[in-house]
Amino acid sequence: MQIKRRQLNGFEVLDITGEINFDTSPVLRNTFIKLIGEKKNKVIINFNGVSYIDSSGLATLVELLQKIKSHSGVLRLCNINPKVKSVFEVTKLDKIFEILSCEEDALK
Amino acid sequence: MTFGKENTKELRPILSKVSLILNSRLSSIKKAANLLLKDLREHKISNDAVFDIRIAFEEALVNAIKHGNKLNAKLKVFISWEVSSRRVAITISDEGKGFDYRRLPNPLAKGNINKPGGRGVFIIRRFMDKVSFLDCGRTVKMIKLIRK
Repeated sequence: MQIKRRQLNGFEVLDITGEINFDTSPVLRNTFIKLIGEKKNKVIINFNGVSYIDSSGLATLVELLQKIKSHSGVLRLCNINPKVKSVFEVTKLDKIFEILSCEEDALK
Repeated sequence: MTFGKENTKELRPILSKVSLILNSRLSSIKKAANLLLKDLREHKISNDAVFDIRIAFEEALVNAIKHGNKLNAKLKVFISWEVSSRRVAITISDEGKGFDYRRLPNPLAKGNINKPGGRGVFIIRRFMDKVSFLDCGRTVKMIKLIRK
């Protein structure tokens, strides 16, 4: 998994490429915790390059959502491919995350 | 090609049959999953079904290695799968103490939805068509039906 950081309209955007799974999710956690440490509390994760997620990836995202909320922040997810989105839907996590179709909508 | 019985009335061709024994290391999961994915793709299983089978397979292996065998290097995980024209059947067994698969918390319940963990078995059940636990939870059998 690769994570690229960029700033746009007051948001920190994380472009993730690869898989968010039991092996790679600690990298996402560390990057995110670093952002919170830098007082960046408006974050978009762009899933455009994400081909797979498992329950460890979901667990990490839920943990990060709780963390950013405790800092009065916002976490939005966008560009999730249909199969990866089905994992959010099956687990009903599409109800607790803000999931937008595209980055433009996530930036609003 | 070998033939086995799907039920008492019908014969189905078995396209491949594989057995593996893994060490209880999380790094073993990727190697086993790659072998399974290669086999599924060779037998023209659709990308949608491959995704579903993969997530269930990896969740079951994480459970076996981490929760079943507690990452104990002396304990093994036994895997077998069978691909036929109608279904993919996978069996995974660990050497741990088992668990009460009938009493797992529902991850969709109001008090659980915001909890980070506890979705592995739920995902297995939702992405496969038939899932059964045997031997006090040490073995999981999973079937994905192949729809043409």
